[in-house]
Amino acid sequence: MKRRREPLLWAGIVFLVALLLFAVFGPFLHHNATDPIGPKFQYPSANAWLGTDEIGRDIFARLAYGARISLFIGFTVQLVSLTLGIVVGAVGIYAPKWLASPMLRLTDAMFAFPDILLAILIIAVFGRGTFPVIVALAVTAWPSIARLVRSQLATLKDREFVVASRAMGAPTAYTVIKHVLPQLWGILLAVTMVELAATILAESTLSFLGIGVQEPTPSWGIMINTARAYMQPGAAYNGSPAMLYLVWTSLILAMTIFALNFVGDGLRAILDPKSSNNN
Amino acid sequence: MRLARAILLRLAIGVLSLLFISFVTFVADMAAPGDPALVRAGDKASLQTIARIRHEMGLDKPWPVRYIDFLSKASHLDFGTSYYGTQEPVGNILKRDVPMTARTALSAILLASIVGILLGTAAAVKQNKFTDRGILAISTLGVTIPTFVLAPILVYIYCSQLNQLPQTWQPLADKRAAIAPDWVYLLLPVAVLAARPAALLTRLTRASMIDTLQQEFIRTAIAKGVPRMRLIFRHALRNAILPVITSIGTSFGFLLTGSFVVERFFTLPGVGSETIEAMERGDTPVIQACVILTGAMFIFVNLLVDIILPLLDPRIREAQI
Repeated sequence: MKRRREPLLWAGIVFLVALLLFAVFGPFLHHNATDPIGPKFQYPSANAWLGTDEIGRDIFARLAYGARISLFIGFTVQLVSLTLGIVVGAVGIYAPKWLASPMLRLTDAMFAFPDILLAILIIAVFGRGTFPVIVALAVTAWPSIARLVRSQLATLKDREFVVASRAMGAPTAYTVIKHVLPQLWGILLAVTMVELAATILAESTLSFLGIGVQEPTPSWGIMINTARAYMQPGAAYNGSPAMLYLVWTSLILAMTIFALNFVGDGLRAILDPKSSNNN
Repeated sequence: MRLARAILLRLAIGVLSLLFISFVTFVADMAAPGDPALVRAGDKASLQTIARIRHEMGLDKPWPVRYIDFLSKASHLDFGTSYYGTQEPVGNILKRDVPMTARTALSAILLASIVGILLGTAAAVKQNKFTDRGILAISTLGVTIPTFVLAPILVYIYCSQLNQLPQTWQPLADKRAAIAPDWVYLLLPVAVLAARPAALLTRLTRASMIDTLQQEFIRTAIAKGVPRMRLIFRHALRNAILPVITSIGTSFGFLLTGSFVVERFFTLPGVGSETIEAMERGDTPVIQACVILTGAMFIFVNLLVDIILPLLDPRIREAQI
């Protein structure tokens, strides 16, 4: 059997490790993210490595801090969403019908509700800021995990090792936690990578719209929104610091989304070679 | 007769979904901090005035009564008046905004469906050849690239060609300044909006077509000498297209998120930009109306998909009771 190499998977992993280091150490390297270090819209230099933004802050530091915000929100949301998704998914299969059935209806209803509308309502309730964004994204993220867990559990339910465990008198909760859920970690890891990309994208989208993370906290979405306001027609804009600002912010966001998708798809291809043939 | 019943059932589900959305919207308003009566009365109002306004707004009634009130008014598109500015009726605001959003979103989903189905078919027919690889690479890019990264790239290309900014909606607000019919100004927004669903639908059509082309009735058709184009479009695509049409409804959800970004980016006066502005000033009636209407648009497109499916496929027509 020919071994499949996954160059995109490895490229993605390398990028994500670099991004993690950037998010952890970047804000300490040179300047902080909130204080102006010089005139606005400077070209990249030894002082401002990627130039300065519209009020003279260091773009490098702001990108690094923005990475921290995005990853923090992304990981928190995924943690909540995985927990909720696994519980609701497992309840859907193993709980008595009076509990499982409404849970299933709720998951379906959440699916039918466009995510942006739910996020808007939640932000309207809690006000704008980092915490409401986490709530809004966690509430919209769990149904897809719940549905995945449910369908996976449904196929595992009657496998021999599960039946054996129950035949030996193990309680349902023990069987599920000890024998069934460990089968899911692989696929859940792959899906979480893709979901993490979706969450980071959604966070940037809300921040871009002005209803997510609020200034002066840096977020890639806010930075892209600022940079695009300085777009101008004509040759003077080409290669100007304002254009570079837009390029850096768009590039780091797009690369992060790509990397996470590559890793997610690559992992899924390794775990389940059949399903990825035609996609 | 069965078909009529199936459509009625779908309609009922659509109405239920709309009720669900309206209920969530209503609850969100109740849960929100702040007293609408205080907002409306202003800072210097006396306690009596506030009590009177609270009574006029119906805020002193129990919530089920208020919800029924809210529903019966919303059913004639009466969402009250804006809290701010000239306290314009929300209905008027919507009349101004909905056409723009409906026009761009519906043209985008139409464009995305056509492009997606054609590209997906082309890719499947040329499976593993250069065309297929190219289309697959572009669609993977299209699924992952954020809308607000794609938009500046396209605007930049447009700018460097025409030496002017397209993203202001000014020409339409002031008809005399317009140098082209208004759909020209919508080309770029619609293209940006359509990109992601088009890419999704391309991938789906490709996968579904590849499955179909391997089936035996296709081999039979080839053996009988059915002309190639007829084979692809009449025999294969007709069978492969069903899951694609189902997912047009889901893609429309993604497109709605995109429409918020696109309206903001190109400063189009639509429901999306109105919602964001209303959120910035905390204008609950406007937010509620926008959310419900956007939800209604989503439900409408999904309803349309559900009605089209049995018309296309006799198997579904038979199966539905």
